[in-house]
Amino acid sequence: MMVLVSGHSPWGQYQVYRQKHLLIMSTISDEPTYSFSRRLVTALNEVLPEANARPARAKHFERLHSLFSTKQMQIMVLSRSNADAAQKGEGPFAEFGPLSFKIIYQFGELQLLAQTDFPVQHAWMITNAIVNSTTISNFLDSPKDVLQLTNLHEGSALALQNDPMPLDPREENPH
Amino acid sequence: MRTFLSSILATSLLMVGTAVGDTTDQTWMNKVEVTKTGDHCVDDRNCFNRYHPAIPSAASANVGDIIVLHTRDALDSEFTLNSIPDDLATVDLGLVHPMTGPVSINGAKRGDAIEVEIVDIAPDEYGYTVIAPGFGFLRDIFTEPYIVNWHLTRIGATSPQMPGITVPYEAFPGSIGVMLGQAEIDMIKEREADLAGAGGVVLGPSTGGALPASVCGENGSHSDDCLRTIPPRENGGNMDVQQMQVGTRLLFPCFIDGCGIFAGDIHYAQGDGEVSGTAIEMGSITTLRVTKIHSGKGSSLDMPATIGNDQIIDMEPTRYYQTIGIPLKGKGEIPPSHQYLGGEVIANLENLNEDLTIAARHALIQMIDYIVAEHGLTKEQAYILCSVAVDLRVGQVVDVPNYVVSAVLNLDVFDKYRN
Repeated sequence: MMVLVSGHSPWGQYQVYRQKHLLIMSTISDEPTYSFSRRLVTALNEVLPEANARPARAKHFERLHSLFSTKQMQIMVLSRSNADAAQKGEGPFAEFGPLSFKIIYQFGELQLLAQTDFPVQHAWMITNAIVNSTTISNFLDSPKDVLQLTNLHEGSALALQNDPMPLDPREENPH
Repeated sequence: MRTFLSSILATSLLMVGTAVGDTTDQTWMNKVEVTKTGDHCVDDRNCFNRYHPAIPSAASANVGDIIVLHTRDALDSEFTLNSIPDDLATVDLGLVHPMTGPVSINGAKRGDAIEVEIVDIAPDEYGYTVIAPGFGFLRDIFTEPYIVNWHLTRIGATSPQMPGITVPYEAFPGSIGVMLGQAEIDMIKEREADLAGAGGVVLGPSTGGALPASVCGENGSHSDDCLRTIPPRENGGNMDVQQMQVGTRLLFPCFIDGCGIFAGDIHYAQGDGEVSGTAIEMGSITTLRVTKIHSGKGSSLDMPATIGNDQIIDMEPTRYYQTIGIPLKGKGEIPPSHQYLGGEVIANLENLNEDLTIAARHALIQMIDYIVAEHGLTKEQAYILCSVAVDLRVGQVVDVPNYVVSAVLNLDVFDKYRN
């Protein structure tokens, strides 16, 4: 069922677009994030074509914060310093408040972040696609280093530990 | 001799001292100017994006005053010259459409009608046209975002995304109207709720991004009652009628004392149909003049009306290509416009009955195919060009079952055909 969030997106079909694609949000205000999100989209669509990944560029931090805090976007790329500031509600995010998220993967100074309730299975699939993609392999931190990150998503940790993909909870408990 | 020279000098000095100034100093207009403050509607006390009679006037004017409105674009400054398609997924559509005003007309009462002349439209330097997912006449075919950024002058619009094309300046108010009264709000809410119940596309009052927040926001005085500005209604508003050109006069029924005239969402140019969902959208300085109050005549108008002279002729192309549509569709296809009616009757039909919408769709798809094949544009460019320079026209509504809609492309937009 679509959840129509007030403001931002009055048209139900717009939400359908956002749900049909894995949108990787970035922002003009964090300069390297958009070009990297495009690289990430190519990598994901190479290994995980059913994700139908697309970049989504927010015009500034305020818009990024608004879309993520209202759960209209599930995934975003931020530089590590801005991710840290977002989590604490400091720096460019001081006016908007802190954001809660989990890390899916780290690429040098950039991090791929997800909602805290982002499904474990999906995080596993994205992480698995990242480490198996040929187009992004030069940009990855090593799985060993990523596993050390304190705020790592559970699904990502399972993938990096070579654990099997967890079942969709709906498949585990069909009733 | 000295006396003669002194006389000449004195006379010269006297003439300089009493000389008439530059003609720019000669003025006759009584102007009421409603300016923009801040970057967005939310920062601007003269801006609103919902309808309700409790929204306070930004200014008042007398009949004959020159009303100068500084207007914002339809999406309230979401885009820039550097915007790209990947920006569209993050656009805040709750901000649509910001209006400048309302302006109260002294002496006008509820039940009157006012006549409003469009005196001038000064375009911004930048405009845009977009394909937004889930929006537009062919939203089931064009599902990915796209944007064209236009450079605007009084002569034409050009874009690096549409090389070889100049769209002529034919600006008009995409949205112009008067404020609704409470009785009208109640009536409209009820009928739109009925339509929503039947599956129609209706956007009910929503407080997210609603302005002014004191009236229409989450804690506003009338938060459940402020109507969205997207559909045109009896008060005018977002009519998107390109024949409302500079020099025409518009008739509006008044629903509140003062009428509360407003404008926004000014279009640099648009085809009849606005098929992608947007015209060449821009900010502007739009000048209006209320020329007359027709006392008690509001009830004679179901909707606004336009009074014009040769404005339509001036917009007609000197050369054109026209496609013809009849109500044909693919077997099994249910176009988005018909989905709320259910598919059982029409799904397997290839020929629908007395249907202007499907005939328009048929004509438009042929036109897009023609533009791609004959002029080398991409499908997205062609769809955008249709939205800003192709007119959908009703041919006939009597030759059952096949009504005709044609699509007329102004070939003058191609630089290769012009000097």
